[in-house]
Amino acid sequence: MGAESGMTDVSAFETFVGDAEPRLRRTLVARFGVEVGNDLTADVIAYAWEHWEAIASMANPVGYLYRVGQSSARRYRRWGRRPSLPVEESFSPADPEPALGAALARLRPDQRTAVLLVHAYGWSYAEAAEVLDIPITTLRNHLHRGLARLRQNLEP
Amino acid sequence: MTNGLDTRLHRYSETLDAAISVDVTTRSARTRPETRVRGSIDSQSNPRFAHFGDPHRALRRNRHTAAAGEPEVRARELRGARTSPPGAGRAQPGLRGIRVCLAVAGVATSVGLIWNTTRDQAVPDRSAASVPTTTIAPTPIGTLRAIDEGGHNHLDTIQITPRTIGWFVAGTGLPPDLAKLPISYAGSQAAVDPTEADPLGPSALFECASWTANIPDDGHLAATCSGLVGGDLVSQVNYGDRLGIGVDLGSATTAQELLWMVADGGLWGYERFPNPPVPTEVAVGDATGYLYRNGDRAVLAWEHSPGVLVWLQSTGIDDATLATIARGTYPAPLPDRLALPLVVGPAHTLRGLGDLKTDQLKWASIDGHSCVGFTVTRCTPLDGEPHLITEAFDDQMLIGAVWTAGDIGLRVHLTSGDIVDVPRTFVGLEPISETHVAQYRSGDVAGFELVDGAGASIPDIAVQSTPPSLTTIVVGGPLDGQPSAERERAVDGGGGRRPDALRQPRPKAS
Repeated sequence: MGAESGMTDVSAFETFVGDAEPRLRRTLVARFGVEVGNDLTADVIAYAWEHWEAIASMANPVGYLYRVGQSSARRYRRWGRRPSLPVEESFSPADPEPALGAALARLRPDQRTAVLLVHAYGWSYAEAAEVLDIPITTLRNHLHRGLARLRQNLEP
Repeated sequence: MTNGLDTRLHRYSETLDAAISVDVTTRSARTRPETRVRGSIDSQSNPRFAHFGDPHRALRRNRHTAAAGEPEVRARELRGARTSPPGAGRAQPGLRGIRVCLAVAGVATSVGLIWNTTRDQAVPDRSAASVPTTTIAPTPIGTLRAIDEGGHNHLDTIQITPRTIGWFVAGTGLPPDLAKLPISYAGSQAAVDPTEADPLGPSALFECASWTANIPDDGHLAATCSGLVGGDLVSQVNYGDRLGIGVDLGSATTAQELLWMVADGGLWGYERFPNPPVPTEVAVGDATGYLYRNGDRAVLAWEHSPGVLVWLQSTGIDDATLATIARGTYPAPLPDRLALPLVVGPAHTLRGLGDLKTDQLKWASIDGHSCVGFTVTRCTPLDGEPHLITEAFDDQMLIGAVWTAGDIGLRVHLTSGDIVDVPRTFVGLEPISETHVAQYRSGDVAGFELVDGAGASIPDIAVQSTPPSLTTIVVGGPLDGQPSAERERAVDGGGGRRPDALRQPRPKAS
C-alpha cells in the first residue's frame, strides 16, 4: 500500500514536472539569465519534490515555485552584474545587430521577464501572469514599461 | 510595438532556448566541485529526472513527506558529503527548521565577522573547510516598530543586529540636475516622489533576506531580520539613469572585490576581462575608494565601515563630482515604523511585504500574542481552538480554517449543491497545525463547516467574520493604555474592506 502510494506520488510529480519545468525554466532564465536560471530551475524542482505534498495541493504551484526561485536567487546574485543573456543571432547579413540581448539585460527584471515571455515566447497574458503569480494588470504594466525601455535601449 | 522588434524578439526566443540547451548540456557533462546533498531521486540515478538539467542537484524528499518505500536519507552521511556553504541549506518545515535557520544565520554572521578581521592578513578561503564551528550570536542594537496595514504600531518590535540593516542616501553633494531626478529602487516598482524627500518611504522597499523566528514558552513571537536588503533583491537606489547607489551590508567582500563585481557586470557588460584593471584610488572621507572608468561610465566603491561596502555607479559624471557625491553618501536613519506582518506559507517561510497575497492567511503577533487572519487588523487569536475565518471583498468570499492540533478539514457547501472538501494549504508551523483557504463568489457559497477526520461536522465553531475587537485579541490587557482614534476605527469599522488594502501607507519622515 505504502509502495503504491509512493509510486503514485512519483508519477504525479513527474507529470507535474513535465508540464511545469519548461515554463519555469524559461521564466527563471528570462529573469535571471541562462546560467542562474538553469540553476534555479533545478533548485525549485528539487524544492517541489521535497515539499510535494504541499505543492500538489496548491492552486498555482508553478507561480509558487517561481517565487521560491526568486528567493533562492539571492545565493547566486552578484552585485550589479546583469543576467547572462545570449547575444542575438544575426538574422540578416546586412543587419548584424547584436544588441538585443544586452538591451534586454538592461531592463528591470520584472519587465524583461514579461517582455520575453509574452513577446518572445508568445505566451498569453494569462499564461505569463500565472507563472509570475501576478495580476494581469501588473503584467501589462511591466510590458508597457519594458517595451518602452527596450526601444530606448536599442536606440543608437 | 513595431513588427520589427516583435520579430526580433520572437527570433530571440530561439536563441535563448538554444543557449539554455547548451548550458544544460555543458553542466551535465562537467563535474561540479561542490557535491550537493544526494537523496533518493536525482537525475543521475534515475533517468526519468534527467531533464531537470543539473544532474548534480539532487532531489531530496522532506522527511515529513517522503513516500513509503523510498530509501531513507541518512543524515550523517549527508552531512559528511556536503561541502556547500552553510547558507545554502534549506529550511525544513516546523519550528525546528526555523531554529536551524537561526543557527545557520549565526554561523554565517560569525564567518563574516571573522573574515572581516582576518582578510587583510590572508587570502580568504571560501571553502566549507574554513567555516568555524563556533556560533557568535548577533547582539541586537535596537528595534524596529512594526505596524499593520492600518498604520497601527502595536505589532511586536523587530530586533536589529549590527551591520545587517540600513540604507545609504546621497544627502549632500548631488549635482542639482541629479537631485531633481526621481528616485527609484532597482528591482522594485516603487518610484518615490523626490519632493517627499524620504527615500526610506515605502516600507516595501525593505525585504528581509533571512528571517529567524522564535516562540518561547510564553508564546511571545520574536522575529529577527538579518540581511535586510532594499527593494527586490537589489540594494540599489537609482537617480534616473545617471547614478545608482548600492550598499552591501554585513559583507565579507573587500571593496576591491565588490568594485570588480559591479564593474564587470555594469561597466564592461559582456566584454569580460580575465583580470580586473588597476583602479584609481579616490579619497572618500577617511576611507579609500577605488574607481573604474570606462568612457562615460564609472564605478566607485569604498568601505564605509567594517562590513559596510558602498558603491556608486554613474554615467556622465566626472571623477571629481563622483568623489563629492561619495563623500556626501551616508547611512540614512532607520525608519521608525516598518510593516512586517508574517505570512503563513506552505513552507513555513516568513516573508516580507513583497510576498503578501490577499488569499493567504497572515500570521502576526500583536503585543506578544500570535494570531491569524487574512488581514492583520482582523487577526484571530490562536487560543488552541479551531477557527473559521472569513473575509469578504467585492463579490468574493475568502474562507480560512486554522487550528493547532488534530485532524480537521474544511468543507464548503455551494449553492449548486456541490460539496467541496478544501485541500489543506499549509502544514506544520508551530503553533499552527494546518490551514485551509478557499475563495468563492459570495453568492456561490451556501455554507461551510469544519469536519473531523471521519467527515463528521464539528459543531460550535465560532466563525470569525467581523472585525474582532483588538482588546479581545490582546488577551493580556490593553494595548498601551488609551486606544488611539485610529485604533478605534480599526476596531469598529472596516467591514468589507478589501484585503488587498495590505499595501502599506508610506511612513512619513519624522
